[in-house]
Amino acid sequence: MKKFDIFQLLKILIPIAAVFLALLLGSVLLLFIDVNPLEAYRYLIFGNFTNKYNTAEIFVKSTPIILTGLAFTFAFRTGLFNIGGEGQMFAGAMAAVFVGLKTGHLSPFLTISLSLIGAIIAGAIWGLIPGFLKGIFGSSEIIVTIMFNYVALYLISYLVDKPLRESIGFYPQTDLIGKNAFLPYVVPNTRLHIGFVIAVIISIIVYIILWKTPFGYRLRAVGFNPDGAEYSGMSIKKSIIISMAISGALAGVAGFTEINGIHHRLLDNFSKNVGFDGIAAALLGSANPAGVVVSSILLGMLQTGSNSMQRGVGVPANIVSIIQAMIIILVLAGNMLRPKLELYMRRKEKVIE
Amino acid sequence: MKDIFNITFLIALLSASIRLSVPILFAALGGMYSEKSGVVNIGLEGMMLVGAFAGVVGSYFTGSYWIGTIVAVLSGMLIAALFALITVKIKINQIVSGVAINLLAVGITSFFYRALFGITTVPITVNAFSPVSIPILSDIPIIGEILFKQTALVYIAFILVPISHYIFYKTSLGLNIRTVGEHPMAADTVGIPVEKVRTACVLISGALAGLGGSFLSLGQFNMFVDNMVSGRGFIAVAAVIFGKWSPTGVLMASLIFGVADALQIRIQMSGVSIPYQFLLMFPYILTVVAVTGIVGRTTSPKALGTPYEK
Repeated sequence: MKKFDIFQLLKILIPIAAVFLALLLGSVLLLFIDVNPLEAYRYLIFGNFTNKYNTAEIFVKSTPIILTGLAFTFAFRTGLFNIGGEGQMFAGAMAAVFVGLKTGHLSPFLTISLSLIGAIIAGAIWGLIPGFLKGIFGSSEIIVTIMFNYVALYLISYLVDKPLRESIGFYPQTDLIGKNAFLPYVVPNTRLHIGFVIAVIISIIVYIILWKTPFGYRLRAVGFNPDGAEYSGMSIKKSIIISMAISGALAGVAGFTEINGIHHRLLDNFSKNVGFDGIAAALLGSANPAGVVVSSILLGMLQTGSNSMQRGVGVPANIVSIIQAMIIILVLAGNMLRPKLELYMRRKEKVIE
Repeated sequence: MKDIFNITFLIALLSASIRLSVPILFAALGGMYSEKSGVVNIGLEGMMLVGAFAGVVGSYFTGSYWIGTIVAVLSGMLIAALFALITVKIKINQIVSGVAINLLAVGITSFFYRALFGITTVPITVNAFSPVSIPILSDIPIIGEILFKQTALVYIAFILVPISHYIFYKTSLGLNIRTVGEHPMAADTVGIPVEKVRTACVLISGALAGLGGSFLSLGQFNMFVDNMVSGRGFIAVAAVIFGKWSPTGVLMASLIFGVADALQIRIQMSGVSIPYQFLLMFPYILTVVAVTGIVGRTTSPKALGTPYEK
């Protein structure tokens, strides 16, 4: 019994160790630019808690990361690499803005629900196409989803430039969506909107679908052993297409929370790199929904903190991208080395016996 | 009158196509080395970005763009070494590792750019390559104009194609690389050091991607901007697939992407009423078409993407 606990603990200890190691490596960089790491990290971590607004910002930042993280997780668990969370989020955002502009005068519940549904459908389509190409032609979903990121990016750039440009026509952005389509705030005087709650609920739903339903079991079976799954009568093609569509839909919701919760309009280059932050969160959270939520909050904290670090000690906020990438590499390396570590610990235990 | 306009237009278009295909060609040739040995390298994007940045830094501090280029190659190899360590040695999934390398490259370049040059809004410009006319050849009408009035790196890129072809198909080294990519266990059995070959190939891919990146910053834009590679590394990955893992195929694929890019810019300038964003999408959509196998089924190296366990 005790042995079991140690190995379970290892699963959690590896990400924690990775975070600390990455921060340690970051401090080397800070020394390189003549900044006291302790001073900088004080801002990075405690800068988040100086006031209510900043603390809420952690959850604001983490909301789309949770959703794109779930998108990656869903595809990953079914044996696919969806690197297109970013583009699917953009697709969702386009739909959400369109619905918000057209139905903003309806009752809040109605217009918000319609925006959400629109974002889900748009994201699902943006994921479905690569899934379809993978299922039918065997094209690499990795390449196609990456390319679709750029296509979506330029599509937004076109929309805000021409057909949906604001009525004044000054900036390349759309008009504000109707007031009724704004997501309600959860904490007053902050930007924390109900999108965070929605993201957490969706993560629970994803968990239930993947691990508690026959449908999810089938999808995971295809990911785990495609040949075996096909032999037992499951259609690989169908499962690839469905899985990519669901994955895209999840990322699409991130577009909805960003538009209806934060920006209230569509603009170029909003929420840059959130799709890739989601991949980071999924890997850090060992591709399970609870892990994704926790990791996303951590990444949100690093990103919010990095701004106060830049203000406080003049360290470029981009250092957080380095730390984030190092965390992923270290977690993955740790997971690869875990079997060896376990073996080593087992041997030791035997000696003690 | 109209004829002359058309010919000058065509010359300008093709000459630009050559130029625009070069960064993709460098990276795709690099990617081919890595893939032939069995390692998928999605990290090309990040390696190019590091090369673009390092090239500018080298040129800025020494005043020599050649030293800048060398710094770019070495930096590309350095980040490739990390990629090789985690994919070949520790055997982390290659796709995920590539994503991590790309994130790392974005972080490193944007952080150090600000650390070195301050949080400025105007990008610094550096000494960069200018076109070199090759004697006699550049006097050939039309062709000389298109092919032989380019920068030095362009010539290097195109010379690398036959060299790579020779290495892959005429030398034992090339045979070893291909064997490792097709059947690592067989390679191991006959005494080819699988991990060493793969590491070397990944390092080559880093060097070439670094060169491709430095071409962007020292041969095209004369400056570094955050995320300036903007997908060319990913297009290079597609060019390897599109080019069916052969140097000449990769050359063709890169040229097609170059033409697409040049055409896009020219249509944009000519004021045709197609929104320019749709033209910008063109290379990416072409890539999607390329990997759907419209050009015929392609066969990748058999052990592509799978780490070798003894």
